[in-house]
Parts: sequence; C-alpha cells; structure tokens
Amino acid sequence: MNTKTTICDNDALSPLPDNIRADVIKAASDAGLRLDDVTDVRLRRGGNSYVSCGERSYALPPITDARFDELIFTLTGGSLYAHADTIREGYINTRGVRCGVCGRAALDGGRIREVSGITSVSIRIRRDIPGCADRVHAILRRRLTGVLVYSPPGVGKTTLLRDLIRSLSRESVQFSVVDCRGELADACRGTSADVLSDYPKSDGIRAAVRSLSPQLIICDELSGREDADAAMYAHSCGVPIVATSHAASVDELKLRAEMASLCDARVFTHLVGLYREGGAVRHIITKT
Amino acid sequence: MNPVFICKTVGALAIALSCAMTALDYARCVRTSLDAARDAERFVRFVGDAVRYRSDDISDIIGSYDTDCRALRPLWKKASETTLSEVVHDFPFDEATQRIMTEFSSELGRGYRDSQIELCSRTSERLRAHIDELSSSKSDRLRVACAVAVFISMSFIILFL
Repeated sequence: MNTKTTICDNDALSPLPDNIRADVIKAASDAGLRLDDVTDVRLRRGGNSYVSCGERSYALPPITDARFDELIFTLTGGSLYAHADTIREGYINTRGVRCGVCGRAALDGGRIREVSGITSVSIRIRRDIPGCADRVHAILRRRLTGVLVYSPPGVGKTTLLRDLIRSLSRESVQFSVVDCRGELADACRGTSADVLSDYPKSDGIRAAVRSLSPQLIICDELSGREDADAAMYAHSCGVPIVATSHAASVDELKLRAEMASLCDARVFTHLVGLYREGGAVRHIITKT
Repeated sequence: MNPVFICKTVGALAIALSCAMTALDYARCVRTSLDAARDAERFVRFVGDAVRYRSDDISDIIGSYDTDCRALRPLWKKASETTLSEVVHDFPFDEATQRIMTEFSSELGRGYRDSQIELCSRTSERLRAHIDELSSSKSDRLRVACAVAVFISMSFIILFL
C-alpha cells in the first residue's frame, strides 16, 4: 500500500479561531512536528488540551471559558442553532472538517433534546492516502458486490471509502454516495458519483435505490436497525452496498444483531477488517 | 451705505444661515436614526422568522435581508461577510438603539433555536417600544431645534444691528 499521506485541505485547522490555531501550530512546532504529522487536536474547556501525532500527545495551553465559547461560535459559523441536529449526534461539521463534541445532554422522553455547555472538541485531521482502497477496489473490479469495512475508530475506514470513490470513478461506475456527515462529499467532486448529502442514512439509501438507479451504493458507518434495514432493502433490490462499521473483529461485529443478520443474509460478500501494525494499516479479508 | 452696517448685516445673516443649517442637520440626524431603528427592528423580526422556519446560517440570513434603507445596504452586506457584532457600531443608531443592537449581536448565533427566537422577539419588542418613544418625541425635538435656531439667529441679528 502506498503510505504517502497528504492533508486533504490546504489547511485542516482552518475552522479553528486564530488564537487556538496559533497555539496548535506552536505546540506542534515545539514538539518538532510538521503540521502534516498532526493527527488529532483535542480541546477541552478549562481542562487539558492536546495536539496528537499518532499515539504521542503534546499539551496545549489551557483554554479559558471565553475562548472556548469563541471556539464553538467559530466552529458553528456563528449559528449554533443551525447545528443542533449534528451536535445532538456528537459532532459539528464545519468547512468539511468533522469536529466531535460533547457537553451536557438535556433529555426528552429518553432521547437527547439538546446538548448544552459543550466542554470538549475533538478534531481528527483527515488525510488522503492514495491507493489505500486498492484491495477493496480489486474485489469490486471482479464483480460489484457488497463489502463491509470494519475497524475500531480512527484506523482509516472513511479514508478508504474516499480513495475507493476516486478509484471507482475512474472506471465510470455509476454509484451513489450517501454522505450524512459531510465527510465524503469533497472526495466525490468531479467524479461520477451521485451524492446524497446530509440525508439520514436509511432515507438516503432508499432514495438512491428508488430514484438514481445506481450500480453500487457507498455509505459510511452503518449503525442501528434502521440503517441495517435500508442496507437489506438495497440488497433485495439488487443494488450492492459498500459500507463501514465499528468493530475490531468479525466476532465483535456479529455481536450486534443487525450486523449479524446482514452477514447471514449475505448483504456483504466480503468483510474487510483494518488494523494497525507498526504504523501501517493492514487488511484482513473474510468471505461470508 | 455704512460699511460697518453692511459687515454686521452679512455677519448676522451668516450666523442665521449656520443656525438654520445646524437645525436642518439635527432634523436629518433624528430622521436617520429613526429610520435606522425601524430598519433594525425589521431586521430582527426577519432573523426571528428565518431561524424559526429555515434554520439557515446567520451569515446567509443577513445576506438575504433586503433593507428598505439604501444607505444601510453596504453595512448589512459587510455584516453578512463578517459578523453583526463587528459592524453594529458603524450603523447610524441613536444611543439606545445602539445598546439594544449591541446586546442582540452579542447573543445572536450563540444559542439553540428556541432561545434565538425568544431573543429576536424580546429585542423586537424593546426596539418597537423605543421607536414609539422616538416617533412621539420626534416632532417636539424638531420644534425645539427650530425654535433654538430662530432664537439664536434673532439674538445675533438684534445684537449686531
């Protein structure tokens, strides 16, 4: 696999306010890191904030309440109310960068109504790794079929999907991308993909099958019964689906009833596990 | 004709003219600040509706606001490109409107939908109350300004001539 990486955006830290961005750049520079090496930025209200490179973390200056409020204001484009839905789901999507957030949840009938007093922001810096999807691409070149990519968080499932989108596009495959978190859309620019942006995953999958006649559907992070039902629906309509899910092994994956039922129904003919070994990402491919 | 008398006459007329100009300028300021306050109130209601029905980003909302006051257009445009709180001090508001709009801009975009709608409705009410007060006192203030201008002019004319 080609391990040469590039940061996707000209500046992946651009959503941050200038003062916090300067702190991150200074901490990275003091630690002898290039900005390209930074993998995560974790910012906490009044607590310990870090900039990370893989498993190594370096402290940032504490962030006062006022600066943290300004951070949230900037990340939401001065429109917190417009991001209420995604904040409830634990993230803010800003300029194509997904920032994980958490705070105090207010419940209504057992469901989260709103999250107030955000205390943490976690920014994972997205990278493109050309060629990282070659093995999945090889499976799809033989036959367009269902593939599930699984791994624990942060190993590279979304990066793989982004590379796969570019590879498939070069072969003029007519496919739909259901991008409910805004992490795939920019990889689809200039490709042959139909992009369903910000659709709830299950609605997006059903809409693609009904109206776009795709040869393949790609979507990120299947979770829950609704998503599984939608994937089953696509499969039953003869449209294979390439998706990702969190799990460290096939056994763990099948602990979730909905994923087990998808595997049993052979919605996915190949399960591709990703794991890290000495800094490199390896694949385990299992046929179902 | 006596040259001293001519000079006095010209001086008195110049003072009378400047008093009249000052009174006119004051009247224009009163009208401008009243128009700006009315526009601000309309804007706040517009934001409230946009948040209630569309949940657009605040910059898009400001960008789509079509003001009645041509003179304020560049300021609203600048506000949509930066933030309202950065531009609010450039508006020709009177002191009370400025205070209300500064408070509004400092809270705008920092809360969820319900709190933002409530903020807009509260601000709109405050502005309306202030506009009513401004409107009712406008003619009195203009009358006083005219009277003062005439009084000063006459005083100088009497003094000089």
